Amino acid sequence: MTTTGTASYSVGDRLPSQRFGPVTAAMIAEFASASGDDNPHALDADAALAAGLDGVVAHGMLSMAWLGRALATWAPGHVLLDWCVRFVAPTRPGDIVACSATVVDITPDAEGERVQMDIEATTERGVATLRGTATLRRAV
Amino acid sequence: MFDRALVGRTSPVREVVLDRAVMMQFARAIGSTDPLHFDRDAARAAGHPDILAAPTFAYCLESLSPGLTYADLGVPAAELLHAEQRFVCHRPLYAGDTVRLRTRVADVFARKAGALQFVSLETSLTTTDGVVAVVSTALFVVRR
Repeated sequence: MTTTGTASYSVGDRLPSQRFGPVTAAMIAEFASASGDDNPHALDADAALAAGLDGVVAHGMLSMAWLGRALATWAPGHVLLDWCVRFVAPTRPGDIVACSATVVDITPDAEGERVQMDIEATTERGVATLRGTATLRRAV
Repeated sequence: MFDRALVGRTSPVREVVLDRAVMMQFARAIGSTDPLHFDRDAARAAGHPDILAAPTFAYCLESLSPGLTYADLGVPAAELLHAEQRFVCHRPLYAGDTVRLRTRVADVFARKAGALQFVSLETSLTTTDGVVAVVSTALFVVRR
């Protein structure tokens, strides 16, 4: 990548929360179709109930994709090296999802700096839905 | 439940060409308007050969071209929940890339005295020049 980020942050900074949604049935259906992820818990209420959920849920990967969009905004021009999330609670239709990140480490390396962030998605109901980490490279 | 003998089981290799329209449809489905995902000129201006796949697109390639079926794992689709997802990225994925996907059962384990059964599937995406572009690891759980 040749674009150079203009992001300015320091270890310990909490980056500005970004909101996505609200999740709608149409959004879930479009995501299922576009991603090929035909997870029955997102599309079939009976299957969701059988799995112990309260009703259909949005794909966890939709929220992870939103975290990816948030990372591109927080860290423009950075290269995403490694990221991992745990899906800790379901996201439901109607939820607005806030993506947030905290910078936990910045380490110089041969190609610039490696930036480590804790990342999280939380619904406006106050439920954390995804929690994880991301390591990015910033060219300097 | 998940059979320990599944560990190490490997799918056939699937070769796929990254289709611009499919990549753009996915980018739209996640609400992206980032020109790097839609506009080849903008991507080139930023130093890329073509539009970039969104960062979770590797998982779509797995779903669109599955390597191991639910039957292979011995569980109904409705019982599997996605518990964790990791992407280790060595090189971006671009429209027109040909990639080879290979999925391997990386691990099978239980927690809470067997009430939670996990299976970890690791998919490598290798370009035709032999470079591993992305390794995607999906952890699924079944409750018992």
